[in-house]
Amino acid sequence: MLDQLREITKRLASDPSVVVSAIYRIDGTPIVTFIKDKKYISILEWFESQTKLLLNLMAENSLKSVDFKTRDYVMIIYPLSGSLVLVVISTSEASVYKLRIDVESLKRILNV
Amino acid sequence: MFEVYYTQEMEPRKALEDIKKGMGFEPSLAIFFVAGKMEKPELLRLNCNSISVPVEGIITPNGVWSRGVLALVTDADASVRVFEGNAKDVVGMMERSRIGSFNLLIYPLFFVKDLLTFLRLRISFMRVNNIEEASEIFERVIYPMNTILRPFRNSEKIALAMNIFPLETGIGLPKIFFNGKTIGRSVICVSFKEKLECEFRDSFPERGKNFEETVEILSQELVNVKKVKVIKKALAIKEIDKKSVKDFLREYKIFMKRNLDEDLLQQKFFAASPYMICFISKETYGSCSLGTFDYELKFYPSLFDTDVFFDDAIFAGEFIHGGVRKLFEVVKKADFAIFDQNFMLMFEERVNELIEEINGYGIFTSYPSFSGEVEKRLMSEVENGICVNTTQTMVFLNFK
Repeated sequence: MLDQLREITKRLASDPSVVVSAIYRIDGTPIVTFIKDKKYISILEWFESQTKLLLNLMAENSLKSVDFKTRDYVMIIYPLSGSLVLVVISTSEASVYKLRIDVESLKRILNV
Repeated sequence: MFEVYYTQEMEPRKALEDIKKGMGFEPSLAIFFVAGKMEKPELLRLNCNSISVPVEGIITPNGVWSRGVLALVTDADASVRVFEGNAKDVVGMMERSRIGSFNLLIYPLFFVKDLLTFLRLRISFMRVNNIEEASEIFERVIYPMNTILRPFRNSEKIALAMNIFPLETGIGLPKIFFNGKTIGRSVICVSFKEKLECEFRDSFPERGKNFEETVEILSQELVNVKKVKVIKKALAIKEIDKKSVKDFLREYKIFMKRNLDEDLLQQKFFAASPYMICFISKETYGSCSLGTFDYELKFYPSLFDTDVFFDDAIFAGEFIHGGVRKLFEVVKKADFAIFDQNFMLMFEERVNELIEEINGYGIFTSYPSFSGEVEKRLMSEVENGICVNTTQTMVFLNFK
C-alpha cells in the first residue's frame, strides 16, 4: 500500500508544474511527501497549520475537494478514501483541469 | 463599419432591445454570440442576415463573462450562404460557389441531429469491421477541420473557421441559427467582399524543419510524452501502439469517461481532454493534436483528416511552459479576438487578465482554424496555408 501511495505522488510530480504531491492521514499526519525543492517546504508547513478544520470536514464527508490559489501556486486537496487525503501543489503554469483529471484517475487506480 | 455590443440580458427580446439602443447604423449582417443557457436564441434577429452561435465565454473591455450576448454587427458588403450535407458535398459546393476575399465559416464540428439518427449510426458502427467504413460513418457526423478549409486555400482566399464544439454537448447540439432557423448539420459561409485584417496564432513554439525536430520541440513543450505508432485512415483511428485508445489510456492509468451513449443522450458529453495524440504533418512538419477519451470504441473518431499526417505520432499531456504569462506574449491588441475554450479550462479565472492585453472584445469557443498567410512557422500550419489545431489556437481581427 505504501509503495502504491509513493507511486501516486511520483506520478503526479512527473508533471513539471507540480512542485509538491503528498498524502496525509485525515488527522493531518503525513504518510508520503514528494517535494521538488526545499523552498516549497514552507508552503507545505502553511498547509499543515491551516487545514485541520478542512480535513475534519472531509472526514465527515461534507467536503469533496478544496482548492487554494495564490498568485504563484495552486493547491488541490482531494480525499482519496475515508482516511487518506491527497495534496497537490503546482505552479500557476499548471493546466488545472489536467491536474484534476490526473488526481481523479489516481484515486480510481488506488480503488480505496 | 463594424460595431460590437454586449448585454448580460438572457431573454432574447430584451437582449435585442439592449443591443439596438447603442446601434448607430443599419446593419447588413449581425452575428450574435451567446454564452450561457438562453431560451429561444433563434429570436435574436435584426432586419438583416442574422446568425446566432453558442460560445463558452465572452470577453469585453470590462471582464470575461460566461453569460450574455455579444453582437457583432456590420454594414459591410457580405453574403451569407448555407451549405448542407457531408463534408465532401459541402467542399464541392464551396469550390463551385463564388468565394469572397474574406470568409467566416461557422459550423458544428460534430453534430448528430436526433435520437433516431444516433441509433442508426450506432447500429452501423456496431457492424463495422474495417477502418475505411468507420471513417465513412464518422464523416456523417464530423466536418473535418482541414478538409473544410481546402477550397479557400486552393483559391487563395482567407477563411476563418469557427468549428463549434461546445464543452458540454450531446444529440441535437450545438444549435446554430441563421435567420431564425436552425442550420442543423450545415456550414454557414459569410463572404466579405473586402479583406479583413485577421491574424491567426497559436501558443506552441514554432514547428521544426523535419519530423524529428518537431517531435523534439513538442517533447520539450508538453508533458508525459511518448512516441507512438497510430493505425489510422481519414477520420478513423484503429489503434495506438497496437491497442485501442481506451486500453492505451488505461495503460497510462488515465480514467475520464464512463458511457458515451449516456453522456450524449443526457447532453453531458464533455468535449475536452488534456491528453492527446499529436500528429505530425507529412506536408509541413507542423502538428495537430487530437484529444483522447477512454470511451469503449472499436474505432476512435478524429476531428480532422489524418491522411496528411505520419503514422508515427506522440502521445502527451497538455502543458504551456510559462503558463498564462506565455499566452500573454502571443496575444495582441485587437478589435475582436477568438480564443480556444481550452484556455478557460487550463487557467480558469486567470483568463480575466487577457482583457488588458486585447483591449477589445472577443469570445472563447472551440479552437478556431484558418486558411491564409501566416507570419511565423506556426506549429498549427499542418497543410500549406491551412492552420488547424484542437488546442491553443486564437485569432485577432481588426476592423479599421
